[in-house]
Amino acid sequence: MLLTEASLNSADEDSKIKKRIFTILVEGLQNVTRHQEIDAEKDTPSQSSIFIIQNQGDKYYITTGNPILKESIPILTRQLDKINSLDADALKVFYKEVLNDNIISNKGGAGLGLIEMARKSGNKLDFDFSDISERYSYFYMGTTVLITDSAKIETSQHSMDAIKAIHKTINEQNITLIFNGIHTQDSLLHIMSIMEEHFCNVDLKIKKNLIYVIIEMLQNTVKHGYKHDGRSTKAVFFISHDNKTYKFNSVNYIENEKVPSVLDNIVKVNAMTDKELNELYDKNLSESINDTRDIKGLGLTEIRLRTHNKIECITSKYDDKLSAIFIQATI
Amino acid sequence: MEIYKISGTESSPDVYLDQNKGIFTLSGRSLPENAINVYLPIINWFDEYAQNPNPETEIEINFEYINSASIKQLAKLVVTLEKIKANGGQISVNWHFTPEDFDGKAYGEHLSRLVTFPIALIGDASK
Repeated sequence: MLLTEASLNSADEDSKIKKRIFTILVEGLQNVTRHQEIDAEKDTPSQSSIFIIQNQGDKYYITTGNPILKESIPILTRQLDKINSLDADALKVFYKEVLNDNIISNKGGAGLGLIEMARKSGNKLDFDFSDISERYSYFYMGTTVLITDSAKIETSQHSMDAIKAIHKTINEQNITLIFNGIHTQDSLLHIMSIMEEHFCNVDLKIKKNLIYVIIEMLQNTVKHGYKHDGRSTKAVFFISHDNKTYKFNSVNYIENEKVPSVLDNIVKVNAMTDKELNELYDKNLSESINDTRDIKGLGLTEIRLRTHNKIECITSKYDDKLSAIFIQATI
Repeated sequence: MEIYKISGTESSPDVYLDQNKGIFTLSGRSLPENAINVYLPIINWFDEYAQNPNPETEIEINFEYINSASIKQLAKLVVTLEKIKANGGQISVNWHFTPEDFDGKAYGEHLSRLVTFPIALIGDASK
């Protein structure tokens, strides 16, 4: 939630729109946590739930996706079809009805969240299902929030298909977290706190290393990424893992003229042993005593020492001014 | 000398510097975007303190997380502390770390190589 707030803040959205988006977020996320039907005993889908917020000019798409038992499909379809058939006034009446009926429901809600989302967005709730296994399906639901009254809604089935494809890729690549947006100090802190929770069962020694790599990679992106009029530009950060390793990946833009020195530095630290890295660390630290402008970073050295693996780096020229730089650290 | 007291945030440290009580602590998280802004007033405070230091000065540094930009500023800070020694004061730093965090201990070692006074490396229980 905070991560989204930090993103919306850096995008300067007005507070009324922000409020509407948040209500939909709250309902959408609670809907996911309440209804994701995971059988703790057996046949548990290893795939995770997804939450996506997209900004397309004058509108935001908010989509959630979570595993459900297939037997829930008919009732969800019925509820959503009903909600989508009602106008604003009828939704208000329906909300009260469901609220009254709620007393006999044992799950709390019984579609109230869905109605609330429809009312706040003022638009239809798009939904779709996608097979996971014999017993489970993904349930995807999305809606649109308009920033201006004049914006028109086109059918968003296209966007839903795109999200299903993204989710498939994320699951196939074992991506734990992905953040695509304007990286700021705030988004770093939120990513850090999400991942601290995620790593709560990881051995403390490894956890420290993992968090430190996140800190240095993200601050590297914030600090050295291309800035337009003094503001950071969009960057992607994602974390993937398998049984043995975590991979931390960042993609951002930098000025073309900075590319050779970054590559030089990475080749240099990659070739060093731990002993040499520690010597370099000492050297840079003693040089920094008289450095009043905070030029020479220790970040890459730090990442190498923490990971004991080589740093992967790929750059690709984007235009006359900018290149995209991809950096990957592995623990 | 005036007390220097700053409450920490999610990304900046808790700082308490009190000459009368003889308490000098930096703790919490130090992950600021602009580490110079955070550490310059602390370095300036010690610069002035060094003119007329207590006979003994023991500084506690105990961070949960610290970014590399802050380490660079701590390098400046510990070098400034040499002035206390030069003016006849005794100075020591206690660098606390989580025992499991090998690299957290290494930060203290790197800093101690920059100075002539002792920096004790203290492994505390996990936090």
